Amino acid sequence: MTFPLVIKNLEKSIDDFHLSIPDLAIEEGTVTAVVGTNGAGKSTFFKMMMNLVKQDNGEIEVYGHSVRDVDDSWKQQIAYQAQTMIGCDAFTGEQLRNLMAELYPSWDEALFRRFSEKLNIPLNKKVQKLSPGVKTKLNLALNFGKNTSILMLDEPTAAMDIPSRNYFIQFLLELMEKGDRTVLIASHQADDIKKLADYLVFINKGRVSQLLEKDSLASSYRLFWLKEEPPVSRVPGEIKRTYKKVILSNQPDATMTYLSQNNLVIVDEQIPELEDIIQEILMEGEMVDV
Amino acid sequence: MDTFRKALWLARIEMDVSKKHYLTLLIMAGIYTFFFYLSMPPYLEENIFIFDVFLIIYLVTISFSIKPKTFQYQKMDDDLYGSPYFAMLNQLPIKRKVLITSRFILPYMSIVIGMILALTGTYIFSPELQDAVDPLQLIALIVIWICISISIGGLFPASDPGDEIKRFTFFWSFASIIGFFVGLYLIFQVWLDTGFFKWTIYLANEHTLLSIMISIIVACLVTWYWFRHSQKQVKKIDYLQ
Repeated sequence: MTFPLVIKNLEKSIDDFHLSIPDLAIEEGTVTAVVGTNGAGKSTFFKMMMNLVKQDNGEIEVYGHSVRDVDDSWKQQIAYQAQTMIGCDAFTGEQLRNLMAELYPSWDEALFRRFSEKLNIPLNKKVQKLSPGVKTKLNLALNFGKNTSILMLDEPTAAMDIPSRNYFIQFLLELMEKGDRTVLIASHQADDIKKLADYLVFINKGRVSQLLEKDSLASSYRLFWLKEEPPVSRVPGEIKRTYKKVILSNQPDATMTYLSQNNLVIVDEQIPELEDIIQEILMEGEMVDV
Repeated sequence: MDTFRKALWLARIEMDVSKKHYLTLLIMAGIYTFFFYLSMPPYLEENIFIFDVFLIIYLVTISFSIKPKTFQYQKMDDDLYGSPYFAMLNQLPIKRKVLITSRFILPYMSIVIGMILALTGTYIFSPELQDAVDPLQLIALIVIWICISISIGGLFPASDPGDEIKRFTFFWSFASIIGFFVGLYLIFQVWLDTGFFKWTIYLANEHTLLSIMISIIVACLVTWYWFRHSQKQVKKIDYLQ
């Protein structure tokens, strides 16, 4: 197995905010979603990977090269999309394309053209005249065109319309088919995470969880629909109760045992939606310590 | 050499998008030439200080007037002031030396063009300046002023990576500017009983070669200092935006 991105005991303090990442290795050919509430530290985490925000302690390696090395040729292997497109207002899409095509030896004109033509990105207009959604699309087209082995996308679909977002997901999934690309994506869109991610990393108040496999995470939760309300306020494993009879559990076996021991009839049992699980984790912050 | 070649390529890209701003440089050179031409006779006679002040304001403004807004030094987040364009380039696979070198090329080019235009223009229209300097010495005078402009104007490209602005930074910056002009006044008007520009005319006339050499050496040393300052800032600053 190859790990293009490896993080070792990373620490960063900015005023009263502290970001701490014990150890994290991102596997090649996977999509990892970085999930957290606003201000949790996702963007800071991405910027540290790009050495735009300097770490206090620890190490970040891209294909074995420290991002703090004087030689920053590792940047040719990463396409990074920040939340906002800064410093580009005076350029047109074509001018930015010329800049990127020169700087990235892996530049793929066909990928850039296909994405920008499909989404009707006006490449001859100055960036300052584009709407936030079109700016995002242009930024994505440029980052896809870089054709790098690592893509880091910070909330790439935040300002995009639904058809463009769907096309983006389809396009990215198609790119992933070759198996040599590694994607790190920060998103608030449960749908993006559901369709794209293989792994999830949660960030809560600067604390970062281990890598969690999406499918295993989903199956470790269970939603029990009971015939009657349980007599206790909290059954083992219960993390949430709705309509008095619907229990969300993060320890399904313990919950099942308790229910059967107490003769509580289960009407239905489901794996909950990923969105519900993410919401619970972000509200409770419990998975961060897993 | 490869660093400079790549930096030049980056500067050319920047120049492509800021073509119309070079018109500003021509307009400014024209306005200031007219002002210098008008004020040259009283200045050469009575050392009026305001002439030196305007000459310094001119050399400072030409180094950043050619930049579109997005390339200019501005507030980027709560504490950080810098050039958003630099922050964007810093995300890309561009060697730090190339990136920093590229920031100096266009401001220095506009300084050279701006100074040649203003001083040659003033010389052509002002018989008083022609009497004070011979054509050959005029070359020395232009070189001296290009070097002074580079030394002072280098501050602007050196600031592109950014500065963390603390509570009293603006106060100290303002105080330094005032201090600079007060110092200039005390040294030249009070102590030497001449003007700064007039003193450089004297240097160009009396020590032509020496003043050219010293000006070039000083400009190179100061540019080296600005370059090192830029490198330190890039290593230090957190680009949170």
